Amino acid sequence: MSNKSPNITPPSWANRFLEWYCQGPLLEEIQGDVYELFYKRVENRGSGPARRMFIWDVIRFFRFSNIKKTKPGKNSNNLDMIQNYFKVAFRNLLKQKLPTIINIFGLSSAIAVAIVAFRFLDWQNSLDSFHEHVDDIYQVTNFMDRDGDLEQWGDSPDPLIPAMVKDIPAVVSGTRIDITSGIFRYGDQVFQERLHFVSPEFLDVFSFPIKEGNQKALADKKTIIIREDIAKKYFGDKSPIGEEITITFGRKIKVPFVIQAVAEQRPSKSSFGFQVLIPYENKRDIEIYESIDDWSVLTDANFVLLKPGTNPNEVLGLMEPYLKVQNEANDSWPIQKFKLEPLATLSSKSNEIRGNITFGNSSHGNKAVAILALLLLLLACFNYVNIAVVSATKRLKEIGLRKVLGGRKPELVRQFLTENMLLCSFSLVVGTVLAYFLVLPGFNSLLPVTVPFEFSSNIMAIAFFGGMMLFTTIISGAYPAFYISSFNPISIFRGNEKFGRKSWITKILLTFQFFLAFTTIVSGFVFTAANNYYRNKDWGYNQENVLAIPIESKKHYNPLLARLKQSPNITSIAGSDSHVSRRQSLTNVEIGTEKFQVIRFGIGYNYMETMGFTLNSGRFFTEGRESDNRENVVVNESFVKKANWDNPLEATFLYDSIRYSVIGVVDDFHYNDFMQDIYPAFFRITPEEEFRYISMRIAAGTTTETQDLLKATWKDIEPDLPYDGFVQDEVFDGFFQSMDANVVVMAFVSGLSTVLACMGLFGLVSFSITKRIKEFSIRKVLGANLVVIMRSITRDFAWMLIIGMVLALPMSYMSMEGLLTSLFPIREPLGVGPFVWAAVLLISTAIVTVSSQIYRVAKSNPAENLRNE
Amino acid sequence: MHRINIGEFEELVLLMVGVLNQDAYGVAVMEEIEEQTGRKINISAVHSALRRLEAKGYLTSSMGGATSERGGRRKRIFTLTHGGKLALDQIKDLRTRLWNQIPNMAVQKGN
Repeated sequence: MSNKSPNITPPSWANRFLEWYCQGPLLEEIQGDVYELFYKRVENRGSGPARRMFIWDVIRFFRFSNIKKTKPGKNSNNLDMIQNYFKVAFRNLLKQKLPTIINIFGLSSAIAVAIVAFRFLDWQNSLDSFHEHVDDIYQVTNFMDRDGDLEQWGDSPDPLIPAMVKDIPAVVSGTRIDITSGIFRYGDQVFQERLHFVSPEFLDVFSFPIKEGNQKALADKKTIIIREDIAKKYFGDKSPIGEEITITFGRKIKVPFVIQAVAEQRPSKSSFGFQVLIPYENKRDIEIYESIDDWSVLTDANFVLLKPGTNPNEVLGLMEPYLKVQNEANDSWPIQKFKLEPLATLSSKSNEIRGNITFGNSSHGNKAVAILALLLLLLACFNYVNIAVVSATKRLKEIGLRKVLGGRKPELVRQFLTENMLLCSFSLVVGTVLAYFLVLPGFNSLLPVTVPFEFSSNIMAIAFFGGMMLFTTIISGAYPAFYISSFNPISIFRGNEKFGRKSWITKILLTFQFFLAFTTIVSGFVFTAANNYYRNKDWGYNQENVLAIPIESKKHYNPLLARLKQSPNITSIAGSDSHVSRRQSLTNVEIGTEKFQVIRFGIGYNYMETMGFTLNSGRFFTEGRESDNRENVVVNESFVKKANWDNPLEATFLYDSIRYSVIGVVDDFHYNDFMQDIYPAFFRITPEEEFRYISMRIAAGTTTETQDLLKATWKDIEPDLPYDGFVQDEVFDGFFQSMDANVVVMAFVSGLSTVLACMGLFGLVSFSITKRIKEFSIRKVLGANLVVIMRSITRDFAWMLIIGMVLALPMSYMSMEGLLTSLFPIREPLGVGPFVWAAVLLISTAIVTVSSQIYRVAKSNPAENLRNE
Repeated sequence: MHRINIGEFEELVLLMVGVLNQDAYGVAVMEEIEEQTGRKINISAVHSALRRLEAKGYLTSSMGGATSERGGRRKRIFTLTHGGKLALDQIKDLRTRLWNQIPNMAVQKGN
């Protein structure tokens, strides 16, 4: 071409790429063709398109048949060598069955745990991300001053959302969420259901999927949305759309509703869900408001939707005026400031926000999960390192021969890493299967939620499995590969290489394994001890042989009381507004000039006697005494401590503008589970009209019988409402189940780490014995008894075990102290028990492991071992 | 009968090599196809087809002379082998035979 411009050339990187991948014989013609096309295109279409098309051509030529590779008879033998690596690796894995099994079992179970741990964390991180506007949704939270500490609360004033939408331009929309319960009735089916009062904008803000019906159902005050399982429960396979139901709310207000839509089951990626959505307006009909915008009424959660990309702090600045309005309306609960909590991270704050509506694990717990998984993975990898290093002697000849035949160190490293990668990828597959079928279902059965196996995104899954592969291969394979490949062939063949016997790194790793095993066993025992502690803990009252039943009004109270009093099994019976462990109010009292947050229990006469509270000083309430009815209270010990009274029985405090005198002090008792500090609490008498519970003490051993009676009586008196009676003894069962779950998880982890460490020990001992079998045989022939042989085998390992445990002692003590303090504020001090038990367990497992090998030596015939020299 | 195992695109490439006679190399075949059929194809597809046809024994190749528009690189010139010619003949025979068997009715209906 005469008029070709020499200045225009194809992109040089594309050309280099072509030259890099294209195999030699083909390069010339391919390169020739693309250049020819390029110059033609420059002429016809200009340099820009030509360059682009050149790149496209180069990319299109990047196909298997053009890529550099070994061809039979050509000079490169890379592919053959890699094939050989795989073949040798495979043979070796098969030949050394025991170490292979140990490695694969250890690695795959650790990987299974790591997968589940990662899924758990990944799932939590992606919680709520399915909402379309997730980045622009915020929950309005407030900070309240509680005796000098700022506490974050999830509930906020009822009129806040409409005010914000009106006043602040950046607030696009918002929804209130108030959770209550009510009696749901369709035909003759009656059940108690959890209800969510929400603004009509609820489904504009959140993206909960609707299965069928009208997405805008909440706009009409009398239409509601129910979830799939509720629909199934009441309507079976029939479509509930357009059906009329009634809901009876707390104050006996019965409201008819029409179902207009069915929502899908709670998405597993949601940190909160709902069963029934009711337009918020209805709340005004069933609760008492002073005015249409009563700032003293709080709603459980307020969410705002901001314009995309709005900085929440700007909005926060504009919320300043509401502080004043709210604090004026509700002066007993002054709030310090608002905070807009982003929905994307809301679930991770669940444990910090009081009165939260979301589920989420504490960040401490999450860290612990991640660390445990990582430690287990390390343990399993160290087994591989140890076994690979000590078994290197078996392969000395192979290594020497490879070197003599021209194998260089990088090639040997590559060979051993290939072998290791084979093992790791196999373990990864087995581990994934284990995680899917065993560990994840097991883990889910311990949790109140279900963690699905799907990863939050494909990239996440690829990154995780790829990273896992790389991590295990490098951690477990790097050291052995470099160690083994550095042997000198001459000394190998001369026979004066003594590798694998006195490797300091093996010792350090085994010591570290014992260290980890000891620490996890200690934590397992500590959790078990904590669990036992709570199980046996005094609840502060006599919770045994008590039945209780929630009631709605006097209409239930009077006939129930009359009927139940006749039963000989019921020794004492009382009504109450509050009920220990079920219902109490948080309120403020004034002692002198100071305000305190306390818990209030409104009770009937005889309640304290029925529940079996322990009187510390003073007396309980006496029926008929006018002052007991109006101005006397019983307080708990914490109250006395908080108020700093020397003589509580003469003390008074101000509550609700009335001065109350203390007539009795009871021992502290657990009104909530054992995770929280006990607040100051007081009891006062409530009129019968307000009773919501009946409690009864029954004769020992008559629980079933009396429960049946209670059930029958309830059905007689109130056939329309479900029976909700319960045994007081069982109210904390949920808490104990979660405690048991902790224990199961810790037991599993510590069991696994012990097994891993002991498998490592087993591998090392069996290798060292195999290597020294002739030595032992000669010793035996010369008359050594078993003790001598045993001592010479166990000496090294015993030291590692002891050093590992001694190092682990302070470490595990400190970590357990920290963990327990953050998890359980109320607990007994850490005893020596767990440490002693852990030591006994670990030492005895180690002894069992080693003695099986010693038995092998003892039983073997020295003549057999010495014959083949 | 010897079975001809050849795809539609390969057949096209084989025909073009025949058409171009002693002048068939990658770019030329591509341009000829574009010109004769209006089909836009990538050069890499032509290369693969040529190589497959060579492997099947329908084509043979040798390196030609260097030319300046290729920056001094040589072309690989493809020519039909005897087998290649036979294959084209057989395909043509088959087509003609089948074509003749189509009744006029069917063609009319099709129109």
